[in-house]
Amino acid sequence: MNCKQCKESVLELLATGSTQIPLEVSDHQQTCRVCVDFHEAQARLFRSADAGLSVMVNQAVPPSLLPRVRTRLSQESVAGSGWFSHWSFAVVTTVAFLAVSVGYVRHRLENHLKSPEAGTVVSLSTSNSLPSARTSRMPVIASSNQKHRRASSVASPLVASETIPEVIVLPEERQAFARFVAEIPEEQEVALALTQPAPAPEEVPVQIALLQIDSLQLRPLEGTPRE
Amino acid sequence: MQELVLVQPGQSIEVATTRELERAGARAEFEDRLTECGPLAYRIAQGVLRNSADAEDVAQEALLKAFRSFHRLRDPHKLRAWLVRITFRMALDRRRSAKRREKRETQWAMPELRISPPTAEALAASSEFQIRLECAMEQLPEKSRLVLLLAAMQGYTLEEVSTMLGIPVGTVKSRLFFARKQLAEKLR
Repeated sequence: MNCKQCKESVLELLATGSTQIPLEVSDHQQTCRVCVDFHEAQARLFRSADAGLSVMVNQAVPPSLLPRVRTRLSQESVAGSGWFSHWSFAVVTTVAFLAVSVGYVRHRLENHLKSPEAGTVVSLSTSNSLPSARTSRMPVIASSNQKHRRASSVASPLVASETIPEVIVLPEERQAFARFVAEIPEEQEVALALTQPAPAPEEVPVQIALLQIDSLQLRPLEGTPRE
Repeated sequence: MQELVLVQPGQSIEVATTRELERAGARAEFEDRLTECGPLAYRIAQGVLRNSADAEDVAQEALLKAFRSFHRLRDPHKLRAWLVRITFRMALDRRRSAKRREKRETQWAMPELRISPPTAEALAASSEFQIRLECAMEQLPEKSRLVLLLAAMQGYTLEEVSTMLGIPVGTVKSRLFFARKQLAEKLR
């Protein structure tokens, strides 16, 4: 065994923590003072390292550690139950809010469907204002509720025309009229009055005459002295 | 004396009482283990941080985390292994953040120090050796550091260390061998 091999063996021996020196190593060290010194130095180094590590990890535990942990554990338990109550409160509040919201929406929907002024039927002419164009009339329901409007628009045109007054609207005025009717669903009387058919004209001969107003006197303009 | 129990709405008294009893039982069981696990956590943290106040903080946090996960860690071996890992990790994190802070604060003022390395014999004789050892430990891989710390801890055999780390005893021995060798190289 040469010095290099001896040193390697010594290092491995010390790293394993064993105290038994192999025979080859001890034989070599009997003849080599350098290797003996190396072994002693490395043994001291390992002993110091072990002692240092032991000092590092075997320090006395501060007496405050366990009481502090116990205190934190108590707080943790209380906080845990608090968390539970917060969660349950949040869940109950959310469920209650959802129930109230659903009830309110359903109530409004039912009221809206029951109310008589839910919609106003307006018949629109597909052509101009000629009476002969009545054959192609189609009822259009104007309402503030989109859902109701959609449902009513599929109703039979015959039924609608028999029960609800109709009005003929010029094609260019249809959109404006529909908007007008839709925007005043509350004032149904006004809407109905506007949608009543116009009375038939009486057979009265047309006369042309001067307009006379007795109380009105026309005088010539009086001029100023300068004029 | 009667004990007052807080009953949540929608919950019967029996359920609340059972839950309270379970919680109290778990806490009592954990407190029993605390006498063994508390020092273990503190020593691991101290081995990494070398500062008793920081080590106490880290140990405390690790123990609280263990308590929160106690329903999964009722097995004593599991709890110890989990605690060792979590404490070591938390201590490393704190050490790194402290070093970053320290570096940031002193970088502008400290000139670069170039000290010639003294011999191992001289270092061993002085208290400076401890500082050198700490520096050498920091340069080791995490696995080697942890196994060195646990093996140096009084009261734990290699078998117990292997249980804590969840690895075979042979692996512990081999890791310890290489860790000691590396440490000696860095100290030389």
